[in-house]
Amino acid sequence: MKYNYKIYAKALVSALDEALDSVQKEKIIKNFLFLIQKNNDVRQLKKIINYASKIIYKKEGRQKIILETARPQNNLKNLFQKFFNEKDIIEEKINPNILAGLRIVINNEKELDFSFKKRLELLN
Amino acid sequence: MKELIETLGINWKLLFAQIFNFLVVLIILRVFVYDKILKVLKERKKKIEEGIIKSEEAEKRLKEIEHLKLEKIKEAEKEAKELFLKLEKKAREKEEQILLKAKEKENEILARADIIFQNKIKESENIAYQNLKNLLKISMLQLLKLKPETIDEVLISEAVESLKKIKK
Repeated sequence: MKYNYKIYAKALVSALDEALDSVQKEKIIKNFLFLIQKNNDVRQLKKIINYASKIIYKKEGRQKIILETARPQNNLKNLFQKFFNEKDIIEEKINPNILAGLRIVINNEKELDFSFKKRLELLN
Repeated sequence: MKELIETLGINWKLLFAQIFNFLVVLIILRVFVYDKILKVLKERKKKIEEGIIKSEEAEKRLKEIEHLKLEKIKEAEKEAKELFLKLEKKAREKEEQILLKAKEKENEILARADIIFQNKIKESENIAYQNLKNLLKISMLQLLKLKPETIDEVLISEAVESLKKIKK
């Protein structure tokens, strides 16, 4: 590990900020991936992307909301949209590990767990 | 006077002879017997007096001994009484110590028994609680198998309600 994932993320965000168009952004991302590979830090890539997303969302005043359910649900996004800002990005994700119910993850930091798995864990 | 002497029948010659005989016997007794008898009597008197003195001394000594005996008895009684009181006090102290120790032991045993009892209760409660939780878990999993959609619905509704409260 040459650099900490936060340093990579901050560098990537500032480079993307300076990009004029999407072509340039794409080039920056390619170079960044190449750099990661060269520094042998591919293992940190997930952390870097998450942290970079966090910085970008914070700058833009947005949040990334993930609604995790065990099975596909109808109209879930619409049901929860009213509780968040319009700018916020709401994603649905299937996670059978939660068994049933819902888990809301905000910016990969906070989570509101209404899952069946959580209820079972509380019984332990 | 002559008539009276004649009436009495006194014969002067015979009277003088008798007086003479008497004097002779008296002199003989005085010379040979009187001193010896006197000596014997004196010795006897002395012996009696000595006996009386000794008897008095013995009596006095006896009284002293009696007095000494009574004193000794009193002293012995006093000593015995003191010894008895001392032993009684010691025995009472010992008894108190034994009772105190017994009480301490009793309290210790009771405390230990109480701890064991409380632990047993806790243990039983824990087992019962664990069994209840396991039963609940099994029931919940059975319910999940039967109606997963219903559970989804309930939990999602709960999430909505919670978010409503947070937003307020």
